[in-house]
Amino acid sequence: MRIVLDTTVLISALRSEKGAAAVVLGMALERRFVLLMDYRIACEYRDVALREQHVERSRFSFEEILQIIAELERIAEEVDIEVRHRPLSFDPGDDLILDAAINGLCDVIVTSNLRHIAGPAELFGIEAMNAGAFLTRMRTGGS
Amino acid sequence: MERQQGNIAVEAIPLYLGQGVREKAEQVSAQEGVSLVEFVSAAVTEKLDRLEHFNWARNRKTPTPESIAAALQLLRRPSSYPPDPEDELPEGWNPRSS
Repeated sequence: MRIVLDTTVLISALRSEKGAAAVVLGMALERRFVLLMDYRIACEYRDVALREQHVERSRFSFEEILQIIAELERIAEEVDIEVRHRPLSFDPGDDLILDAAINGLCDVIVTSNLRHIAGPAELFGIEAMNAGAFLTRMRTGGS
Repeated sequence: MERQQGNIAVEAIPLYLGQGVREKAEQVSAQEGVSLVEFVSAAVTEKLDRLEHFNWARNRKTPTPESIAAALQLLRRPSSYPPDPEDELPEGWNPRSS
């Protein structure tokens, strides 16, 4: 299964190890699915996760957050963005997630922002679901 | 001359395009429903993004079993923080099944 993780999932995973997002991130590191990423997503992860309010709300130091993001970058499959469909969403931050999903032939976008991402993703035959729903999918045999 | 476009400062520069390139760019920008200026600006942005992506991809480090294990250990380190709202595990989720 080919997955794009929205930044919202990373932020939740940094917040608590007891939530679904942290389990999904762990599965990504274990390479239980193919994590898709491009340079802009790597920048977005750093830009958002390292904002002061997110570092304060997380259970990690600045350096530890960098370590986790760096490992995600290492294990990810890179996606070359050949085509950018516009307009896509209301938010440029969502567009870059959708660009990677569309160009990377993604199966599922895992996101807490279904309101903005699910509609445009569906136009390209890509499912969007939150981390909990994704775990349920994996448990019932998704691979 | 510099001016604001939203939150971004933009500056006008003289740009010389070959006639064939200009005609093609005008044709395609019209098909996309944007001005020639917007089309050129988007093309430059995309080119820069591609170059940065290429450099990023070329310079990425290879994961090792040790680096992955260290990141997993960090991620799973116990804390007292509760999950965000709407980040609950599925009902009946068994940690061993992850």
